[in-house]
Amino acid sequence: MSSRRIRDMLREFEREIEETIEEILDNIMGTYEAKPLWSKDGTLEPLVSVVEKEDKYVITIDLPLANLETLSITGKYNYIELRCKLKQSVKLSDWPMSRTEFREYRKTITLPNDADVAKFEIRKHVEYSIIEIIVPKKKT
Amino acid sequence: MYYVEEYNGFTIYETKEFKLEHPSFMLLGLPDTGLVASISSSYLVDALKMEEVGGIDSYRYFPPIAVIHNGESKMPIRIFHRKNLLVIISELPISPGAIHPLAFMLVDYAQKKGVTHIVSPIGLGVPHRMEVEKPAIYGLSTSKDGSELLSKFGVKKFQEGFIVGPYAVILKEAKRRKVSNIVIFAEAFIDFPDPAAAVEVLTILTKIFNVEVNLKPLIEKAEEIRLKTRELMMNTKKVMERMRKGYEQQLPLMYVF
Repeated sequence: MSSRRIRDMLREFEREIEETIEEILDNIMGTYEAKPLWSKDGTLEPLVSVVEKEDKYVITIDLPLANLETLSITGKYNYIELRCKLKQSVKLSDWPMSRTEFREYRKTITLPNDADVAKFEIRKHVEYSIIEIIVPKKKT
Repeated sequence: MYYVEEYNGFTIYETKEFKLEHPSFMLLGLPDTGLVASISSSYLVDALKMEEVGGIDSYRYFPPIAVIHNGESKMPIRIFHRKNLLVIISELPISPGAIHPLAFMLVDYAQKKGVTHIVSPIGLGVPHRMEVEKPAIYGLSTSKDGSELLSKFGVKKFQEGFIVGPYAVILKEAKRRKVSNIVIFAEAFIDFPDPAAAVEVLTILTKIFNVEVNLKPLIEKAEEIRLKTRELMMNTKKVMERMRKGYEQQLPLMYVF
């Protein structure tokens, strides 16, 4: 076997190993989000789901333990900003990293440019502490 | 250490000797839709004061994480035991690459321990969940005994649909190996933790396992649980998107005729 052929085989072998390592790392690290959903300023980030429909965007936000009477939502440019106080302050655990007492949900949701954020509608599902924000698409 | 086995990238440990009474059940608490399995299995472990007897770890499939509970280092997947019940709870969502080896290992482990039924509680994501006051429960089993248990407690049969994720692989592998797998589906929020769905699952599970558990604290603490499980739900949602969980919202071909 020529030395060139051996070099090619080694390169090919090296490439296969790199691909396998990348695949493994993607399977592990690509899956786990390190970002916490809380901040030391006492705010929590709620879980949000955005679904695009033909003529609107439906944003569903989970706000457990929130006082929905304090809900404030503003639409500007292409984003929606939400703030809502908790019924009472909450500590996540005695874990040293999270000794903070949380008092409020805060979240900024960025939408595509065709979202007409000035014309949103809010539906409150008080029994579940879940809200829906319906944002129509701009008429072209 | 009483038992250690390497299995295709995973290592299973038993740290205490235990005797499994019969008929026995192995309940799986792997994060999935609405965290129904995670919430129901964790609640059961706590309510029954089950003993931790081992765990599962993987240097290939898990990030380099050590879970600390009560000042002790624990494995990302923990095994609990009480009388005829084993509960396996994962602190992490199972990444797509890990699903097959983990599912094969769990079915294999159940066979080695002589488990009578593997029990999989699954959240069935329904878009209209907010209009549902009491989530419906469905079930199926790979065995006649399992099906009889489900009908004895009034669980309607899950007739048509897709299951995506670790429970799908466990179901197929259990059927192939003629191991009984009881699958219990509860209507649940797709993207949010759903303790109310877990309550419905536990109502059936406690009957199947013949144990008495007060579910009132779970109902009362539902909102607090939803708040505290947001990060696990966020990671689970990310994993579910990668494993094409959206298939569960579709109809299989057979259903159109």
